[in-house]
Amino acid sequence: MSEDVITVITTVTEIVAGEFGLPVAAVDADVDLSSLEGADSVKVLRAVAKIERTYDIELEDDQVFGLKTVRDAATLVVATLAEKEPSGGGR
Amino acid sequence: MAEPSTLHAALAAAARRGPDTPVTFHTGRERLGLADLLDQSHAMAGALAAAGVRRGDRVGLLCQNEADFFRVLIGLGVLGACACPLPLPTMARDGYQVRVRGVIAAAQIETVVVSERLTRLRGVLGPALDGTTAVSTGDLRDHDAPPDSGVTGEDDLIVQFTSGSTAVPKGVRLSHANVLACLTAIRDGIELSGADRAGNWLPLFHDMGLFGSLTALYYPIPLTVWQPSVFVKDPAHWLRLMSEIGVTACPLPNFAYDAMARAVPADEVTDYDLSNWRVAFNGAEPIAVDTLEGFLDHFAPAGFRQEAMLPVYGLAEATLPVTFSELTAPPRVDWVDRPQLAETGKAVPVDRGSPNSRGVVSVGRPVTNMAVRIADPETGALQGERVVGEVEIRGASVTAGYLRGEQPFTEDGWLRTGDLGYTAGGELHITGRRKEMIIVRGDNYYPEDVEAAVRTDPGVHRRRCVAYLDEGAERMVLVVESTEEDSPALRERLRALVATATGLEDVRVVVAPPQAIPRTSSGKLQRLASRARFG
Repeated sequence: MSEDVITVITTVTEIVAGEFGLPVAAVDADVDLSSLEGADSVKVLRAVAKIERTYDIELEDDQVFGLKTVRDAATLVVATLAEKEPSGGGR
Repeated sequence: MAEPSTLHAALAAAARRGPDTPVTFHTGRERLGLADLLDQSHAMAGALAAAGVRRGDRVGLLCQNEADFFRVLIGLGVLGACACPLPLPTMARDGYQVRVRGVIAAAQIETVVVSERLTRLRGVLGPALDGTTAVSTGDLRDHDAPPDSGVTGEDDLIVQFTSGSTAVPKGVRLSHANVLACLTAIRDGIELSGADRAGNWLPLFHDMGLFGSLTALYYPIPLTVWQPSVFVKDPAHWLRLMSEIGVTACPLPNFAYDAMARAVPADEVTDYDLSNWRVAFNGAEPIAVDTLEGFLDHFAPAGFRQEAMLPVYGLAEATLPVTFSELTAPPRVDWVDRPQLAETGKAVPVDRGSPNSRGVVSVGRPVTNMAVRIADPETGALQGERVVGEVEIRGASVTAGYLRGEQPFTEDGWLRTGDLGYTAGGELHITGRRKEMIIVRGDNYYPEDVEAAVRTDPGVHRRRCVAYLDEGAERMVLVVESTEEDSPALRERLRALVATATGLEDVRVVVAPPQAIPRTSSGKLQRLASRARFG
């Protein structure tokens, strides 16, 4: 499980860095997203959209309201995936 | 029969004309007829009365773009109570709780109605609702409608908090009569007909999203409401959705037109059919000529007609609409000499190709029951054509005033908008803001909030800092006095503090030695003098 989170953190970090136009090294898993250089709500939502496409999941707005860091986002992705495919089966 | 004087009476009349007019919400995939929506709103009024809400109470409203937003708003109106729409965050941000607390304190809100879909928001709200009674919309259904409470057009219906800083939010009081005047002006201004269909993804807690949507219910015509995130996540997808259901009228801010042109590649434009789009409102933000023209060029092959683009000017203090450009004509751009405009306040026409030209988009003429004049912001003297001054307005949809604090009126009763502009050929052109506020992607930012974000940082000497807009009113500048050496690291830290607290990213930080910021005799740090010194 924790390995899952780490893999997802890596992917989410790449997505966030890509949407914000920052080097991956500048996006720490625990940094407040709103303090990143170039942060605004539009970029955050675009990153969320890319995360949704990458994992084929849908995140509700009120779940996104609670996101502060990359780790928060990765934890939400893992939980949503677990809900969607409890046995790891196909779609 | 007399004209309805309240929102609920006007909507009841609309529901008699078109009881089955569909109202569709993307959230929860809700779809219902107007008459049912009204019945449910009256039931909610009964439940709110049973929960202790009385005529004259101000009640917080925390809902997404969903049917409950309208049920609560209309229900409160039925009781003669007043809805204070609270903003929703896009993401967790420290400044959000402060903003919500500020609104609750300013409006003396005792009850907050929260959508049953927003239970997960509690974590983000933290203690922001402490001291109030939070009621879930899920507990306000299937109640008997209340007896008629004798509400009149003069009762406040909404207090809109889009003005003022986070620290001192200004609540704009809007009566039933103000709101009905607004809806009538929009309806007449775009010559709405039964053949139209409305769409909206702007937040309902924002004036353009709310009153744009209410106009559809008021006529009534079919209305589809999306969450803002549907547009922002994938503008091309939203454009396809709205064109497929045949939306003819839709409000959007400047940045959205940019986003759509970027989201749809040129070789895919002809996959879209935008020929039904009759009224593309362009408002709520300064209108950029390149964005406007870029959109028109890009989407012409999709059948988007130039005359469908409708630059408009409005503000919360006018409920919403002040001027609309000409409905059946393409947008007009006035090319003027930029240095003369900045230095003398005269809008002198020049060729578009001139090296000093600045294009100013016309926002047209006053809507029904609205008057506009241009006055010298210092002396109040009325200005002639092509002379820049403060835009002042008077009309049926103009607020009676703010809940508290300094009121925005001239001695002869005109509302000072804080915006600068000039008239040419009788049409209004907005050139900037007198208010120390900037708008980025539809959000307002105030210097007070920028200052509050850094004031207690150890890098700031004795809390001495000042924020203001740069000369072009396009960017916020923050000057701090510091005993530390000026360094990129210090500036970056302060910038990040501002971004975290306010969401405003693009701030120029200036680090100055102690005593560098000019003060007035009262010791108050002076914004204008700082601009002269630090640029």
